Amino acid sequence: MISMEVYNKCLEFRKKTGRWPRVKIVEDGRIVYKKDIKSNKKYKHLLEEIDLAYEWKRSPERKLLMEYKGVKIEDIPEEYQDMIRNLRSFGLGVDCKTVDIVEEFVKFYNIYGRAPRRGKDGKPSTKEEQIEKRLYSYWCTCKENKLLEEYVSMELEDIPEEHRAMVEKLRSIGLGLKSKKTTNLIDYISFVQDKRREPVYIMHPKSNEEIYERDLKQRWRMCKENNIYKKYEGVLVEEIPEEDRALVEKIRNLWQEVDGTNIAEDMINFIKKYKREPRNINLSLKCFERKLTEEEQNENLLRARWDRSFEKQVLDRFVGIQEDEIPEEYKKIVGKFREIGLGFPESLNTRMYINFILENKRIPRQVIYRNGTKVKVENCTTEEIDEQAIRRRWDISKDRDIYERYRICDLDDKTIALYSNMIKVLEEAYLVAEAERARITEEKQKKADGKRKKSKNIEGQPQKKKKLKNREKVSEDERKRTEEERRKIAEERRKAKDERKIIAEERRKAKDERKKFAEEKEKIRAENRRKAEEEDRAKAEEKKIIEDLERAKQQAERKLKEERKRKKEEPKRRAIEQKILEKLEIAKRYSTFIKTFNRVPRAKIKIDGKDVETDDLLPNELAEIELTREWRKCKFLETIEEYAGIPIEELPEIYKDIIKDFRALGFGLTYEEYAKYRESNITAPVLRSLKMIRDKALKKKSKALALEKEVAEQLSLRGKEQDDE
Amino acid sequence: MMSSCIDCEFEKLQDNKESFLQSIRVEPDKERLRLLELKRKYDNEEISELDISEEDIMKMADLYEEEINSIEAKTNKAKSRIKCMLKELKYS
Repeated sequence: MISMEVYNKCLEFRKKTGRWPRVKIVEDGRIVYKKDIKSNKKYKHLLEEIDLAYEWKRSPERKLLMEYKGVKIEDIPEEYQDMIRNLRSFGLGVDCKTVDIVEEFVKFYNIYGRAPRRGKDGKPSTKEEQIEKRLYSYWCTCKENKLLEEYVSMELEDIPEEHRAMVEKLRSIGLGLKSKKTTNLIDYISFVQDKRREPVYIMHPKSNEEIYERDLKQRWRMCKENNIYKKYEGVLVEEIPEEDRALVEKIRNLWQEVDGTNIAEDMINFIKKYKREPRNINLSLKCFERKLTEEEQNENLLRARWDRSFEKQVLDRFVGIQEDEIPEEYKKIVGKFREIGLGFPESLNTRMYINFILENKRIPRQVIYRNGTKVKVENCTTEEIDEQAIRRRWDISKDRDIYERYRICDLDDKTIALYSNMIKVLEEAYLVAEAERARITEEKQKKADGKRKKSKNIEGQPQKKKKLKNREKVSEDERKRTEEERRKIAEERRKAKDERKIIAEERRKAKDERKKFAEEKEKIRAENRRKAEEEDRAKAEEKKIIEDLERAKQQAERKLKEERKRKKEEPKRRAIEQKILEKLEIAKRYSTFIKTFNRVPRAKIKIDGKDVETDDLLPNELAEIELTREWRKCKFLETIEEYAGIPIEELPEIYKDIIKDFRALGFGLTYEEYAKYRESNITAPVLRSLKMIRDKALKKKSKALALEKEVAEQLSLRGKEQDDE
Repeated sequence: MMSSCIDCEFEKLQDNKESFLQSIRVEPDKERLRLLELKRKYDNEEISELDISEEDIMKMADLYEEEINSIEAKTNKAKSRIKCMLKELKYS
């Protein structure tokens, strides 16, 4: 039976604080370690808990608990049953094998009307949440779950008898009726067929229907079937492996059934009509501001249909690939859409933008001026509106951003390769536009020069015409002046722009330099750090070597010292050994004497109460007196008394036998030992032992009295001092 | 007549006194004294264990035990007195 000291301590702690001691303590949003607790007074109150937690972790009680993990309480030895039952009630040493998962599950369902969930992220706050989370994790790993899935399509009668009750119980709360493997697909198909659209992730669902839709979206997003479907996007059914073909075909057919087969035609018609791709209007703010018009709804729907269509998948698959590299079976689909400007890396609008430039030899206008005034939208022609729309879409397009980034060399190679065609054509178009602009400017210049020459020729004509010419000249001068001013302004603007450019360039350069400088600085710092670290390491190594050497030296010195000491003390030791041996010899002789004569050797020989003179003593009497004298001198009796009360086994080896002999003769016994001894012996040793015990008690008493006297003196002195004070 | 009465009374008085003295006299325990003497001799090593009979050894053992108990009681009393005094000394 193990001691339950730690368990009891933990129980007490739980009673006090309401929780089991934690090893991992989180305070102020961070884990608090023991060193933190020791260094920070703020966490001092946690020291007891963490110590106890570690003690519990190492305790035999916990080992036992873990040993019996998964074992039924009846099969555990009786002495541990209470403890383990108690610990399991706190959630310790429990797993899915330990609890009756079916019973627990049904119980939970009856209380909450649903199966346990994984719960929200983070730590569960309430006890109920903790239980639910634990139950969910058990359920995920338990064998009952797998069995339920295995028997999903079987009738109760066909299920093996040992599992029938369990399955019946779980089916009664709605579990195990549908296969988990196909649930997601079935739900998805039924949703699409019903709503004729994909499920959407609704951020704040308000009804159960919305909650279901959101869950379905999540489930479908993560399920295996969706992954398989996505894997074969833009792949012809014939090319899909047989094991996945049926699934992909089923989903494609589903969408064909919902969206129809004429998406391509609809797209072509739309592009022809609106000269742009259909938009996803739901994403814009419009849907919040007002309801969509029928036209917008149709556009939206067409966009959604197009996005999930097989043709779009094919186009996306071969985007950026030349037509001659595309496999024959896909060529037809790709070719059809590329004709109308789809299936390229750049958007349809970009292509239209480029076409416009090439056709009109100018960039589409943002604002249209006529006779020097801005034309309102109502007064614009259809072509002008289209032109503006193309420009507007281009200005905010991704392709323009890419082109701009290409110009400032901020584009990765992969994107450059993908958009190389677009960039090339766009640059050519810009060149054409530039050339056209230059030509027009030149023409204008020529015209102006011709007019100037004409006016010079007119100077020699009669007076009548002179006045008119003077007026014309004034207007011409004015025009020239205005033009000059304009040119000046333009020049200034250009200059300012150039200056701004130069400043920007300088700033960029300065920034680069600063960056470079910072990098260099950082490099130097890193180098210094590395050097310092190396130095530190070298120093530490040196220090370590020195320490090792010193240690070795000290060790050698110590050894030498010890050796010397040993050598020095050798004679002393030998003398002591000799003395001990002599002592033992005397003791042996003494005990032999007692055993032989059944009495203690005498110190004096008395006849009629008077001491006998030494000369008159017999040799054996002399030997007896000598033995007593030696016995008293060697003080072996003190050694015997020193070891009184200690069991023979614990005595030093050399004293074991002799002290055992003496104890048998009544020497060195405690009062308790004597009492036992007296029960069996009523002869001389009793008196001997009693006499020795009495002597010992007397010594103790005299010591106590002496101490009492001393303390009393101290007390009286202190009293006197206090009186004086 | 008178004198005979007085004598008679005096005799009575004498008898009473003697009986009273007789009644309060403590007779020494001779056996105990003998054993004490024997113990003293044994302590002074004037006699050895062989010189004492087994019956006397038993009785002497009782005497020794009595002595040991009284010594221990005295020692304990001294100890407790020391403790008290030390406490007093500590808090003074």
